[in-house]
Amino acid sequence: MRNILLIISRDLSKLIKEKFFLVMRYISTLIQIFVYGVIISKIITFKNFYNYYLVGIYVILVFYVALNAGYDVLDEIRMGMLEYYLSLPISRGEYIVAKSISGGVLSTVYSIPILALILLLSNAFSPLKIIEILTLTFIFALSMSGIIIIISLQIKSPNISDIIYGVLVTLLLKLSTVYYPTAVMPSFYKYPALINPVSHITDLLRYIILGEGSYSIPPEIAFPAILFLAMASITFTTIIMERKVEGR
Amino acid sequence: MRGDEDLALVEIARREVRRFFKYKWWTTGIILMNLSDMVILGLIYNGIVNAKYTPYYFKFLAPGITAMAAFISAFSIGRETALEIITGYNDYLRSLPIGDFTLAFGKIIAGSLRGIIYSFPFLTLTFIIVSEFNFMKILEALITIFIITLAMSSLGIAIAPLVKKLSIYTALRSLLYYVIYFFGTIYYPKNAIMEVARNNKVYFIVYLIGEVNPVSKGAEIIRSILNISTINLWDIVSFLISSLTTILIGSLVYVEEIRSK
Repeated sequence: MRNILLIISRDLSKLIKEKFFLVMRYISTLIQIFVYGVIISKIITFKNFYNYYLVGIYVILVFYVALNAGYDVLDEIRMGMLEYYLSLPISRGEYIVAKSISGGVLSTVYSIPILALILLLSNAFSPLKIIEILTLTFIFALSMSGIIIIISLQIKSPNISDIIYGVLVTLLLKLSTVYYPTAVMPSFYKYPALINPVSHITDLLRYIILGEGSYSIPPEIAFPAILFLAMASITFTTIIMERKVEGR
Repeated sequence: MRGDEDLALVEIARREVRRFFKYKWWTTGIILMNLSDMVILGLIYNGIVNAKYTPYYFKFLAPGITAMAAFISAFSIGRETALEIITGYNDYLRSLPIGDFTLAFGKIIAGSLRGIIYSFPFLTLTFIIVSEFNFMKILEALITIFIITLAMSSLGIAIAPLVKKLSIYTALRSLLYYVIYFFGTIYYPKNAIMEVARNNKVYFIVYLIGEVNPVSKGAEIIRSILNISTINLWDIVSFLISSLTTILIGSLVYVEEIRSK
């Protein structure tokens, strides 16, 4: 447990050191909220589209930070850091579990200022909602980091893992309810969106922030789906890590 | 002597264009991103965009994505230029009997060719979407893309020497992407920006940046070539002025920076 906490605190301090990266990412998100969001909402006929879009932007931010955290594992493997960890009293299993949890923690911490802003803009600021949202953010981000770690461990070629990463990001975001509800999607886009975990978290957060009628997937389906994904992600990451690296 | 410089320029451009084909994985990822914007986001928004602003959003977005694709690939020359400077490879290039401006323009032309090669399939798709098959119109659109890419590769090489770490360049690049994409008419028509600006004066900044954003102006010109929207003479003039200014400033900054290193 101590080793896991050490890795998480190391990743957190690494993130805090990257001030320029942090500021740039926040500015990019603010541009999406105050420029793209405001103007696109003007031309969309959908009622309260701006608030609908705000929740999507928050999920996109969490999604990217979680994937970056997962991708960090791939970078560390490429740079030979895994060999360095081998020399430390940390098992590879601990390392991978810590990296998945670290993805969840980093995304959650990183997203707090934007979450506060979104809740204020949506007139939905409440401490209880913040706790609920951050808990769900953590579970979702942990799953996403885990998925990227699984892909990184399965595919040795950096080129192929790069392309899979690109495809995954593009399809998961575009074929989801982040930008639009399933009601306005053609049927061939609707079905992938309904089983997409990004849709599940987005609609669950919409239910918490915006209330009834703002989601495409009901919370009683979205919530168990997210929990299942998190458990599956941690289980598979650990099993694959044991088999691949520990040689069991 | 002049002939030697011309040959050097061609050689630099040829080398940079060949290098572009080595990044097939990066290219595949970017193609997917742009294609998904066009055929997923464009198609879905098509059903929910108010016809008052644009009657057929899918057609409206396609030229914007084409201009964006041209920008991304032309701008990619900046990343390699940044790497050359960080690793010191640039010193080797400067030790060759090539003038600094030849080096700069070789890179700018290479960036432009990359942009044209990469965006051509998107341009073709755009012409298919709007059902236009007119050689002159394709040529006009290609000339517009050529100017966009010249400006954007100049911008790419100008930013490259200003950063000391590749991670900073990458972060700066992603911020610039957002400014180019969202401060202009790639995703929304000019009248929508104006309407928002009338309610909140701060948004005139978005409008003004859009007026000097070569990618946004280029998208408007391609739309007008395809009869999707109309432009006036000022739009063409401002496109040419902003692009030429970017090329001039970009090449000057690059040369000044590599000379001072």
